[in-house]
Amino acid sequence: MKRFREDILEPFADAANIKLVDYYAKKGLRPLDPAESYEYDSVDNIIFEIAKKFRKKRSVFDTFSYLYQCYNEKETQEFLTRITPSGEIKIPERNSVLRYKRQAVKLIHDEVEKDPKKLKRQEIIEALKREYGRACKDKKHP
Amino acid sequence: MGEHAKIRNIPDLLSWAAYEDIDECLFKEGSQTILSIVRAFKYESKLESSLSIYLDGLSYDDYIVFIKELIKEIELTQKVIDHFDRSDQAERVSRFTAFLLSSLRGMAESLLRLKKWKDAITVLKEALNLKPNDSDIVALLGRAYLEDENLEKSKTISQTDKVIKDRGRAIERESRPTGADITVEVKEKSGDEFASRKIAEAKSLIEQGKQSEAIECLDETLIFRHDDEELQIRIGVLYLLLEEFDKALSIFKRLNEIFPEDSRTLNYLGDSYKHLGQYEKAEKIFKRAYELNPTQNVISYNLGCVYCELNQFQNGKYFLEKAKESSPDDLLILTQLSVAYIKLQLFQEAVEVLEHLNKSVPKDINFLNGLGTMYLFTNQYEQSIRIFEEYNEFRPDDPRVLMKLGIAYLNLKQYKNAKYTLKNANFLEPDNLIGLSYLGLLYLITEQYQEAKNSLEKANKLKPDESTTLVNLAKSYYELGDIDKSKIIMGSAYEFDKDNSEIKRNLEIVLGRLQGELSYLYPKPDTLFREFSKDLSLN
Repeated sequence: MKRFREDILEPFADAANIKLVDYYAKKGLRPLDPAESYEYDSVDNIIFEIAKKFRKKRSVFDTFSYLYQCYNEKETQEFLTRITPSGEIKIPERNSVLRYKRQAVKLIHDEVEKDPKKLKRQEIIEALKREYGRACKDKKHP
Repeated sequence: MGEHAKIRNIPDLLSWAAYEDIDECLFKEGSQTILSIVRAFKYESKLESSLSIYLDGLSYDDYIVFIKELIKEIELTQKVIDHFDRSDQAERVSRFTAFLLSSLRGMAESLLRLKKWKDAITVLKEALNLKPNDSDIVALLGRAYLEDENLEKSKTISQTDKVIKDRGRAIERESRPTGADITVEVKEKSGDEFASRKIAEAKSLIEQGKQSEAIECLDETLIFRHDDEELQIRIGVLYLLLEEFDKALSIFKRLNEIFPEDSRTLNYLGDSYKHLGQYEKAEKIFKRAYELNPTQNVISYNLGCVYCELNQFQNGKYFLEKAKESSPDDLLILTQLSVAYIKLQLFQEAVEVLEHLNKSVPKDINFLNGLGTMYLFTNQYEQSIRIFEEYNEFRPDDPRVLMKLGIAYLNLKQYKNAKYTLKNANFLEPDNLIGLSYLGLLYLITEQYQEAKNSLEKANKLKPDESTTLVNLAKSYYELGDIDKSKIIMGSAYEFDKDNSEIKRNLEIVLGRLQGELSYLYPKPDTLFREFSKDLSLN
């Protein structure tokens, strides 16, 4: 879900003076099927490293993974569906998915902000600038 | 994988999480994550290779626990995928299943080489849970069983190798033929001997009441002789006998795929569904079996039973009567037929069947109860008393039967006996509406109005909208001189049952608009039927 990535990257993109709409336009379209491989960049790699910190918050971590891979909320509901011991199919509420989504964004932002030296924040901003510059030079995506 | 593993994409991230879980022995969580990757992302051989490395690094015990969790998770995931009807995801899970199966086979082969038969059996059993009909796995398992058996019984391994060799390709890879002179007949004979011995052992264990050991014995036989249909039927029937309905179902489902038009297999398949409470499925299967073989009365009987379970008693009656035509004395058919008759309120027909049953199995308390009740419903009070007195010899303190006995006495105007039995019933089950209503009625008839009022007040509390209770209560107040209360209560009775002319007449008398004596009412037959038909399971 592109919007989800934008929610995560927005404060850093603002600081880097980059419009995320332009950023993704320059980088080109991703595959339409989220089940396909994505070409993640160094910005994404930093986010993944941060996401490792909340592995134990399973629902939030899983929601983050699906949404980051551009699945939508409805598909995420499907992936989070579980079968109870009595054999009942338990689909999580849409509101639960939305809550996990908000928590995931917040956890990433909190993790970045909690560093007093703001190194992680700076790292993301630099990576955004670098990736954006590289995408601008790439003639495949004018 | 460690905190610093390079994460390049989401599947990498999830794999890292899964392996962290496995490192912490959180196998269930690890399995869930692995299946998430398979289900939601592009299937990559990278996952297989990294998982293989992890599996190889686990101790045998952890390996088994993790594999069990993975297999369980695959089953659950398949159910969820089926629910959402996602063929692309199903395909990826199927690829992963094939990978896991091959990994299990490899593990089992290593264990067999190390002569760890029991461990190999455990691994192969898990593999069979994943794919029940895989011939390689079945053959390997057959070999593992025989090797294990032979060690105990000091038989030569070469002979068993040869026997199994004939049963699967996997064994061809593994066996080292040392007994070239052993003929095919010898191989078959050894295999048959093994299976026959196991079945005989299972039967003997059943007779000794050692159910779980018998099941284990059959499981082994089944794995070894998965290709022998006749043997599978015998094993399936034994599973039915042992009430292992899931196992029976799985056998008969498989056989049904091979012989879809075989009425015997269909009947057993339907029977398995029936015992598992899946009546709609059972009905479909029995119907097909009946179409193929309408003269087989066990099919008609089963179809009749299933219709009764589905509350389609008219259909149930039809097929049970059909079954009865060819087996008029079959107790099971007659019992179920009597249930259908009772539910359809065909009391006289029920009486005839129950008389037959009572004659065939005298002193069976269920049949006595059923017959006595049906006599009561057909106003044959003397017969009802005779039967219930007989029942009382076995269970003198059954309040329901005492109640029915009291009702029969009351109808025969034997008030002393009625009072004795109804009071006893009321003592044993004080909050029974029918008991209280009839006791109240009896007191009214015998002009004990205060006692009548007390019983009927209690009955009224249990069911305030029962018009007959209200009428009798109003009469008891009236006879005790409390006319105002009587007016109110009779008015309520009229509100609940405006079409009842007797209640209307009573109300007019209470209101002073009509001269005459207030009548009392018997509880409605419907109420009586609802209350007493609950007791008649007859099984």
